[in-house]
Amino acid sequence: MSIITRAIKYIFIGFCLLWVLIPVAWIVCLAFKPYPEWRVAYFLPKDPTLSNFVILFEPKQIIGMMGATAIVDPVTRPFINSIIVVGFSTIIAVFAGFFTAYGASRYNTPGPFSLFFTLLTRMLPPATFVTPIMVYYSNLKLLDTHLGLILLYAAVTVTYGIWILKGFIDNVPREWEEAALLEGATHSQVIFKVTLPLVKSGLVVAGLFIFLLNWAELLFALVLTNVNAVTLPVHISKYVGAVGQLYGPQAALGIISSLIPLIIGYIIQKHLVAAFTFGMVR
Amino acid sequence: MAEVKLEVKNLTKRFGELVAVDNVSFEVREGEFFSLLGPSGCGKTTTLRCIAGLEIPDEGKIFIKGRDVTMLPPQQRGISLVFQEFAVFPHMSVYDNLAFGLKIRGLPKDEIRRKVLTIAESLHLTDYLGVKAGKLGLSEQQRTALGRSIAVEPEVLLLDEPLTLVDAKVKESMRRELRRLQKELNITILYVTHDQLEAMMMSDRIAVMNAGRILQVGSPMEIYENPKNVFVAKFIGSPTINIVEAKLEKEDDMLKIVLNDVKLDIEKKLPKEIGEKYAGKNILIGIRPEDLLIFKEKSSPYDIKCSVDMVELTGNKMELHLKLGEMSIRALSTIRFDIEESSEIYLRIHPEKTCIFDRETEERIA
Amino acid sequence: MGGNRLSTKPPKLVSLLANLPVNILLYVTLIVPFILMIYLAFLAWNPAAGYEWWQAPLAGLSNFARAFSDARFITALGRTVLFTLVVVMIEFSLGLVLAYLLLEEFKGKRAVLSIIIYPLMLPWVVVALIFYLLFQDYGPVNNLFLKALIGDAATQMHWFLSPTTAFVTLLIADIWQWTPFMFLILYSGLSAVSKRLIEAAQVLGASSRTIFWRIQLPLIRPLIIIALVLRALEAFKVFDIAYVMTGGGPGTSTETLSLYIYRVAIEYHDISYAAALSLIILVILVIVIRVFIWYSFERR
Repeated sequence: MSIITRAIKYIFIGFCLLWVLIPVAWIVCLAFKPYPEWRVAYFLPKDPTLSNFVILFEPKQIIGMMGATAIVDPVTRPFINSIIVVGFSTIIAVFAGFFTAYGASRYNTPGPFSLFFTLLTRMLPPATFVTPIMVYYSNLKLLDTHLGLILLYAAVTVTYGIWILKGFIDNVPREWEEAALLEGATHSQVIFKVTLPLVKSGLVVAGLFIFLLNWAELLFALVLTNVNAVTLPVHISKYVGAVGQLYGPQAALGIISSLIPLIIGYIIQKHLVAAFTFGMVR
Repeated sequence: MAEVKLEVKNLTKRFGELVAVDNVSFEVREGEFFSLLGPSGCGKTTTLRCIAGLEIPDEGKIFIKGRDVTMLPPQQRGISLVFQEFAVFPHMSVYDNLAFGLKIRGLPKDEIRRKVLTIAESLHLTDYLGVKAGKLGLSEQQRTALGRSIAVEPEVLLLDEPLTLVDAKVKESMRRELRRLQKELNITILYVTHDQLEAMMMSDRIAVMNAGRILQVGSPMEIYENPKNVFVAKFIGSPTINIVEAKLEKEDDMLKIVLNDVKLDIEKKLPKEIGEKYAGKNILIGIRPEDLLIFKEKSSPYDIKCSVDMVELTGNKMELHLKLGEMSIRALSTIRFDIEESSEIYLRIHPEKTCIFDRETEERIA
Repeated sequence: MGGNRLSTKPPKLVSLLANLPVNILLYVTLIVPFILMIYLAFLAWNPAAGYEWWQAPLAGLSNFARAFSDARFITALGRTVLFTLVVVMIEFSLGLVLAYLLLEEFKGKRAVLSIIIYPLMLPWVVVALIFYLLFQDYGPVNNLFLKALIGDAATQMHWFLSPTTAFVTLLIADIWQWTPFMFLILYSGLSAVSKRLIEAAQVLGASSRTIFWRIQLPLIRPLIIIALVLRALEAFKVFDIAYVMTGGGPGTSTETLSLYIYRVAIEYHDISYAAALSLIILVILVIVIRVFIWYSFERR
């Protein structure tokens, strides 16, 4: 490769890095800028402050300071709700996915309809089936509950659990399970003591991936929650819609909401490529 | 005298601490079928890859038709390479595979068509031209890989153990076909293999390699009859040559080999210096199983008594596993006769068919 | 490999575990509402009217008929399709270029890779937030970058006030976040192509460009199709960025399909109409997917 082509290649890669890093760099800087600096044209704050973060936890402060706003709740509850809802739904989705994948890999369960339906849940826009769920939950008194969201999130992401884990389970030789069976193990022992430990990294990959997806979910939460089970994405959308153009706190909120996904993403990174080609090519 | 197509000089390639190719030199002449033969890990494939341009050597030079190609990329060397794993382009038809190199060289369409059809015919691929290469059987894939490499008319055709993955039944016929094709088209071939039978069968000359070094270069007959050291002697020939320890003694100015209690005359005289150097010392003798004569009774003072461990009858041959004291010896006989296991027979060794090796260096001394 | 399948029947425990949890989830949470939706679509029901849905009068096909003459619906649909096509094409092309450039080893490649894919990990809302802030009148896009190009006139650029530019901001946000997805799939597919094949092509005289176009790309064709389909399906769902960044505005000029249906159900409380719209889209999607599967895999 000639020197010129190589130079162009590196310049292009450099551009890509900038393109990817600058937006986040801006937000990080903005989060530490005090009110007077929200509209400036430079990156680093001249007078860094933590006030934006504080406001997130005590939004009542901003009334009067920057005009009326529609936000009175601190970010703690939505944050905790997100952790609870996403955490439980992920665990359920992963394990339901594991068992179903096991059945699908070793035998022919469950029926093709169920499998097809799980695929459908990912293919169709959530907006196209949120309406009846709202009515349904309303009648079942599941609106604005943690349980309601947990069940829904699990139902909608279990298909990833199945795909990812089936790939991993397929790679566990049947012979090992048969050997255990021949030595007198029951089927449940085989599943829990033989297969499960062997696909541990698959469980981790599926779990982290599903966690990321559910953590970001907005539409269902918007429709199905109100005060009790409000999740972080909903809270974020309230901040953007608020009167007063609260740039600083918005940026701070963005940072807080991204910490967990970024950490998870970092952990999953090494497995990400394997997980993708695994699931697809199979 | 045919011109030298490929010359390798002092080629050395290291991978970290490991010296994979150690000061290797040889040349291949036009129209020659030259094999690099050796066990796995001996450096033959690495040598081939350096010649192909897929590795850059640390030291040494490679000349193709007189041109120094040591640092050139594969595309500019005038070589072609057939891989062990075939590496046919699975998504392309056989025709497109064969035409690939030609299209890159920018030949006009009808000339490409002509060449591809000719090659397909000599490789019996005409019926498969429209088939996607990934769907072919193993030997068809290898023939396609071969055809694709021949099509571009390389100065030297390199082959890296091409028949290892082919069905056993078809190997034999493919070897003959390859040899025939090579002679017909006068292709210069450098062939890498670990199968000594294959190398013996197909090659004009063989270079035996081990641990990165070339141990001996010669025609199959030369190597078989005059191995330079124990390794080469043992590697060539099946069943493996017998190597036993013996003593060299001087008796009345004639040197004799003492094996157990039997003394053998060496009728070929050893050069005096060697005789002096080894008199009274232990040496190694090599004798091929097929060169041992077997007798039921002792009929000459030179016959050695052995006990029979096992008899293997393979169609027209009999392979005997014998024990001489502590040593195991194998003998091959084309005459079938009744021998029971655990019986005793007598071996006669022809001194002129023995090879004598230095016990320490394992180099041939006579 | 189709797994290590047995033809025997699964033991009771396996059958139970493999079927029950998943089925509970699906049936309880989803399938019942789906069926409900079909019924709702044929009603004329607005919860604000005070009675429950099972007491509401049937409305026959009127909801569906209304949908076909609903300009806002049809425009939203068209707009979403346009969004999907543009975004997928751009992301695929950029992803491909990037994958090609990053195939060879170079110093720091690992670090570059980790950095390039991190946008994928951010929640959509956060991405929407980021670009909402970036495109503000006094945000860096205007204040820093455009100012450098066209001077002070840059601050007169109101991204969210003009339909075309608002749409562009949505495109940019999506491309920023999802190009790495395409890149990742293409990159892993391309890297997986056997080294032997590449060496074989090199020895035959092929340049790296020829190898890329004639060998590597054709070999990952199935992967490319999957990547395009997956991305297209996701892009079609676009809601978060429209809701957060533009609110569908100015007016309804960036209102995507999901956003419109959401509005109909939540803001206008027109449940049965929303159900009807949903059904229409579901049917269209299922048909499109079915046709696509037939086209790609089943013919010949």
